[in-house]
Amino acid sequence: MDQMITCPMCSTRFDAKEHPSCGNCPIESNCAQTCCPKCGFIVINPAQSKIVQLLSTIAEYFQGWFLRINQGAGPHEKTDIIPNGEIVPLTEIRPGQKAWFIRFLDGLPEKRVEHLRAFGLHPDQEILVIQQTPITVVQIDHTEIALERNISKRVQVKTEGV
Amino acid sequence: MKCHDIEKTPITPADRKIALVGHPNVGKSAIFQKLTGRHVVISNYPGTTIEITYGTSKALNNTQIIDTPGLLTFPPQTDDERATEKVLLHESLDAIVQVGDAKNIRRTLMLTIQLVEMGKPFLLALNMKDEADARGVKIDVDLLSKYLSVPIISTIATHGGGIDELVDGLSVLNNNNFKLNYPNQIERVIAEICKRIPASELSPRSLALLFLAIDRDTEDWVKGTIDEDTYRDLAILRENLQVAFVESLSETIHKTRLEYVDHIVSMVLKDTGEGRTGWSHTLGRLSTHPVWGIPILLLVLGALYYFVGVFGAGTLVNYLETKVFGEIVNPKVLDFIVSLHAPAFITEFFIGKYGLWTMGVTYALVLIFPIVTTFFIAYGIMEDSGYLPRLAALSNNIFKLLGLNGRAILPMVLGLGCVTMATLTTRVLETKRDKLLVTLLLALAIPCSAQLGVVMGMLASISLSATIIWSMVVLVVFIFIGWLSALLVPGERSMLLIELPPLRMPLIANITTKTLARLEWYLKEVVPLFLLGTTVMFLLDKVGILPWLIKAGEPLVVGWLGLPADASAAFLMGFFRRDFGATGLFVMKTQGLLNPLQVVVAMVTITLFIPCIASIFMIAKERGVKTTIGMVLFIFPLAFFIAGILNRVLIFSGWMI
Repeated sequence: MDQMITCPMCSTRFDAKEHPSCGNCPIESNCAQTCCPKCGFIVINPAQSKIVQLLSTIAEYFQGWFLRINQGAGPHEKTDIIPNGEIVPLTEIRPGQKAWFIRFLDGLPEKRVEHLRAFGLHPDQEILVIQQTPITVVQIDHTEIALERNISKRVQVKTEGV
Repeated sequence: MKCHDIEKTPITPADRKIALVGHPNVGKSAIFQKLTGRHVVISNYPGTTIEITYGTSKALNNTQIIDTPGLLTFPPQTDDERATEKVLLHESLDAIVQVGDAKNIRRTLMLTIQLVEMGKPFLLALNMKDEADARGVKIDVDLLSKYLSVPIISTIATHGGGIDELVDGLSVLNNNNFKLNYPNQIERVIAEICKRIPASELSPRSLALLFLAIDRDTEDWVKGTIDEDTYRDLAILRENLQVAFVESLSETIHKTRLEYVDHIVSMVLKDTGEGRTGWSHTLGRLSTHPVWGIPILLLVLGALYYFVGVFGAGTLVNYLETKVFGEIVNPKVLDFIVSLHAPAFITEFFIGKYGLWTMGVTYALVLIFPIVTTFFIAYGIMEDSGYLPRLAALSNNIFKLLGLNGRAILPMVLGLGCVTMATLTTRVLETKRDKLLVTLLLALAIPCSAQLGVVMGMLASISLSATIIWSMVVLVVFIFIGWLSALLVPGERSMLLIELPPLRMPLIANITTKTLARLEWYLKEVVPLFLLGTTVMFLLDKVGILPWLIKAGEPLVVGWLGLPADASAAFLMGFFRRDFGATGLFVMKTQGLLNPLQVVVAMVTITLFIPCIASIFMIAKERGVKTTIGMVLFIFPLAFFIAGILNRVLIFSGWMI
């Protein structure tokens, strides 16, 4: 955690990690306070408080979860980048990324294949993924369609890349 | 924007018929509305439960315009699409007009080719030009028109833009000479097929192509019009042709068209445009958002239930029943009938317990009509705004277990308002199997608002556990029967694939016209059924069958369900009017005739019991009489069986004794 602090009294900015004033202080440097080197005002350093650390860990965890949900990433999606130019099922493309249609896998009913083709799913057609939960939503040209996972996992696409 | 310098005949020929065809969500209805105004009639296409709208265009010298359901591609895959194909195959059309989405030109042209190949005079209306402009999509329409040799008009149907030019274009329609060449082997077989099939509405070439792509309806038509030997020849030709290709013929044909379209698009598409911004876009994204989508969903469903189930089925019905009919109309009618001094039989026929007036007309106009009106309005708004598909997308996961997809949410939720109307909504489902499963669940386990109020009230006045027991039983039955019937009814589950059109502000004019047309349909096709049904009930009662039923039911009600004999009459009443049946039981309770345990059993019975007579009619109309009888024979014993088991379980467990 960044430990640059601005003193509320005299507005000096200092780095709490360096413990600039602790050397002169009768209390040992493990107190939860930090003193401003200029005016001596006692500033609470959140980085030294265990409770604050715990709370901020929890907050970061939730932030990450919320961010992923916000992007519509599914529960199984890895959030690291997939190597370029790979052929993967549509379900593995992260929201906001593009992919290019390759082919359909077995197991799709004829009518879904016909419909997907009619929506514009042709070889090399660019697809923009909008979300993956609770359902896959993609944009093809200026058409947005929603497909359930049973379908999108059988659509093979090529990822961005060389 | 006219594209041809052809000599114009000054007056549109009379007695013409034109069909509007196109993808879903392209604004076909808006174009239709602009061309026909208020003069529309909605009816089911013969042999289907699909709505086809017929209108006349005054501006085009009373040309009849037929609005078809949206179709993604040939061969048709859903009931809706099949109805469209039927219209094209069987109606003697003077022209086919495609309404296309200007911003999705490639998809549009893929359909254009299929339609133009059918050989009729053709015109393409590239609609929603404003949305295309907003995205920066630029198309050279004149050049495109030259390439395809068909007239193309840009329109903005919502504002009336381009409509005058459209009318001009439609008043002169010339044959189209479009020909796309397929690979040589295919062309050769097409020629052979064309030699052998008889003349029809559509060009032999397009029928040959549909035949090669194995379109079921074309297949049936071909089989029906040629002799066995010729058919066998054709089938063999097709088989041999397929051998020459790795992919299916359907795919190969599709590929040829795609290459052509790609080629044209590269010439005429000046700018592919970028993404969207604005309230419609933001709201659209929010509406399917995994987190924010939920409150929006609950809001919409709540509003829907409130408008149809509470306002329509409650407030409006009450008002009509007590004020309008109760105080004004009924007394006059009663006096009139009595003053005729007709024999008792006749008098009773009109105003007796199962009288044509007291039951039939009252039902149709007082009870159902307000619900139907609010329902049609709500449905029109949902349709036109583009929210409906988003509703289905969000709720899809819930319905997988029941062998259904998200589209089923609409009838299910509306069923809490009125099961009769909800049965009508099963038309949003794609296959007969889906419609059947949802209709069954609606009839069995969805309590409509008429009884919901009374049932909840009675249970709440006993204890919380009573409400919980009732809810649990109904829920478990719903899930179990839903799951079981999905297993047993043949056919695959329809995986959800649905377009999410941009959210649009619905046009009041559109909704008004649609609602009025649908109300007219209701008055013409549903009300006579009520009157017929009432007459049947009346006769059954006179002959003594209805009283006999009540008497015959008593041992069952007393012995198996553990309820007093009078409950049998209440259940029968519940068949006619859900709320009366529930109220009858309520009265029994206040008189101390039902102990808490009996109340719970009675409530479960009346909830699971066969739906009201109006629903039965609707089911018969939508799914056919045989299916209806089958359902009744299934639900009736099942409801009693479960209620009886519950009775025993509760007694055994010593609940509330």
